[in-house]
Amino acid sequence: MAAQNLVAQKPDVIVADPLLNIGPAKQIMDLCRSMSLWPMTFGLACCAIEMMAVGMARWDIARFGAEVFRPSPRQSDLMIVAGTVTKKMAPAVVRLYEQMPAPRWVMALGNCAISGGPFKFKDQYGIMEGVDHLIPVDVYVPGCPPRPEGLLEGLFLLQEKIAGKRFWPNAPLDGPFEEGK
Amino acid sequence: MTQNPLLEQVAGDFYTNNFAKTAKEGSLILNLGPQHPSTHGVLRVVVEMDGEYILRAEPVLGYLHRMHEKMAEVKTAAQFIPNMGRVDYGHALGWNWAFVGAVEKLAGIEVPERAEYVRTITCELNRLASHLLWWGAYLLDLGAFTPIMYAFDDREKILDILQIPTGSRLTYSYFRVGGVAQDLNEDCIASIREFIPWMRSRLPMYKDLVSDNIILRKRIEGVGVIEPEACRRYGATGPVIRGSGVAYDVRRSDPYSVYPKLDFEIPTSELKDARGRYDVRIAEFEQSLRIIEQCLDMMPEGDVLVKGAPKPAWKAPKGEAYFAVEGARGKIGVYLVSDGGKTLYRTKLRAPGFCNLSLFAEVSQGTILADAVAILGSLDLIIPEIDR
Amino acid sequence: MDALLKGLAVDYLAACDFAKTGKTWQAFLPAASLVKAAQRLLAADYFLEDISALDCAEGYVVTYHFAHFEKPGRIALRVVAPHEAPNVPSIAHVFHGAEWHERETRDFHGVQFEGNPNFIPLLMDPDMADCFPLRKDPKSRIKVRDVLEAGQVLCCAPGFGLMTPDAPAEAQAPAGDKAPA
Repeated sequence: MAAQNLVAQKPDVIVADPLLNIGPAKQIMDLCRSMSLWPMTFGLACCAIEMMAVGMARWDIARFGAEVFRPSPRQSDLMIVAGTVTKKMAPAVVRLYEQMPAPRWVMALGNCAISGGPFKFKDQYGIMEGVDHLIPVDVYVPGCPPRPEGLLEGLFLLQEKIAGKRFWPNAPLDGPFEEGK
Repeated sequence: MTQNPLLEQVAGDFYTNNFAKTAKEGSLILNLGPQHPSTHGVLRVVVEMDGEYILRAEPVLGYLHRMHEKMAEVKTAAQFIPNMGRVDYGHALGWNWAFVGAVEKLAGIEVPERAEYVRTITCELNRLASHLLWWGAYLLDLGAFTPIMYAFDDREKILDILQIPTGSRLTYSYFRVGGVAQDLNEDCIASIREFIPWMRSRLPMYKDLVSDNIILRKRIEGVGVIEPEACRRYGATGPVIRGSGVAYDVRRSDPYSVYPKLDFEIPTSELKDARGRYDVRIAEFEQSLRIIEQCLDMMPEGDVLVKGAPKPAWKAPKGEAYFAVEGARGKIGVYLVSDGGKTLYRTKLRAPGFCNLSLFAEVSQGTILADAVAILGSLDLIIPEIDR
Repeated sequence: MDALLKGLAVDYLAACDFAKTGKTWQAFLPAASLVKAAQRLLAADYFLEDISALDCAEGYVVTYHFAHFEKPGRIALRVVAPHEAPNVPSIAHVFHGAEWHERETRDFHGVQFEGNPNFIPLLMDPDMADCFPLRKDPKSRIKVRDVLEAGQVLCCAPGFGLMTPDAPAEAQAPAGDKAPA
């Protein structure tokens, strides 16, 4: 089947060394990158609606510098895989990833993108059981679909991964969780 | 259209090549999607262009085919309800209802009266949320960014309300065979009562800001005219056919639940174009609010789940059943065949968007590409529902 | 419904209880009279709701559901296609929307619709278009009369044993061009 072949032919991700490889300069670059991520408008399924909600007034991803959703992969550096990746869609996902300029990051949003989620069952014939079979993933955000807070937390983790430091306070772990905060 | 053999090898996949076989010389084959901001997910449309004009279009589906009908063979009827929240995330409760309705018909289960009202209220709230999502996204497609901010602001208020009984924001699996999972509590009812006048107060603003806006009118008036006769050939339903002047609504034509007791109108438009469909959906906001208001007043006390409601391992009796409800996009139908075994023998989902989209190839012929986007949006597509 | 199908070869026609199964009429047709029946339904302003196939021991029961914009009720036309050669004439030139429904049925069950103008995979990936996921294992197939509602029989062509409860064995094969009662 096509999709299996695709996994076998998974492209080696080649990222050339940065032109400017001086420690402090790189740190500044990384800081800038982490605070101005440009996600791609790439909605696949249910999670895409939550991704839209994050961009809108209440959750307002602009607070964290990632509101510039770009329809073109050429202009974006964060791919949020929001939804189920089917075998039919898989080649397009790989192509989109390859079209993004480096450095680039991938967030697997929702259970479908992580592992196939609810659509993984014994005789399934149509979906990829996790987008990490196709492209390297930096952050996994579980949920079906994840709440907008989840997506924001995923973004924080990615920023931490890029810049090496967490900029936002941790969510309280002992609750009670209030809505909309 | 590719005469160059070398080009033929590299350009296009199965669908493009199949489509290009009958292309005219000198025309251009263009792929819209599967990743395209105006296709709301992963719809792909292959179009043959002459300059800016569309000669022929063919939607290509299946990029989000999630095997719901196959999964129904693996899960019991009660376990299948979460799938219904994911078929159409815009109007999840409509699908919930269609499925549990079909199972209830099959097994002859009566639903308590309060549960019918709870279902109606939540389903109509969900319809409002779905129309708001469409409204915002459609205008975004047409190049207006601001309305979606307003739409999502209002939509979040509905999600807050629905979150109380259902526990989720988007992919509800709230209905049960024989009722609903839990009753609407006082908080929830109070916030619905608060929400209705507030939403009403927003509608004139929507009208001033968007509906009467000359830019929008120029963009959608006269675009994508669909005759009622074409709707019949393609089986289009919902706002698409009501926008063509046919007052067909399952809530009235094959009434179910408490809808016969309620006083509401079926908005139609004689314009038949994208504007007509737009007007119908905008008018439906008010009708849904009316329905919710009446239901809140008429709702009796009582249980919301029938006694002895099916457990997860419950086996549906032998037989077949077809149940249809009016979703935000049209007629949602679920056809079940059960052989009395652990799982249902066959589950067929009739998605309204599937039939509505099949119209697109005919309607888009001869329009310019930018208008095709206006037509696609006016059909209100949710791709997972079409691909299932 | 009687009047609609008058003069056509009909194998089985029954009135059903709408409250119980959600349809008012059902008719088994020989493949030859399907297109004519569809034309008459179109002339009588019916619209096609959906097409689905059911994998039974006697063959694929292809069901066409029709409804009306003004009148309540639902009509189910059924055609039985044998497992060995599941061929059914296409009604895509009568109800244009049928084109997609037929392609979908082909994807799931492998029923061939002769005369469909664009008979390529619709939902399935073209690379794995021949896996027909909803086909059943021959052992677990059920009999038509066990699950479908018999209804109030108005006419039944001689030799049509699909719905008769005490029919001897599986003497099936759709009963050809029998005269209607």
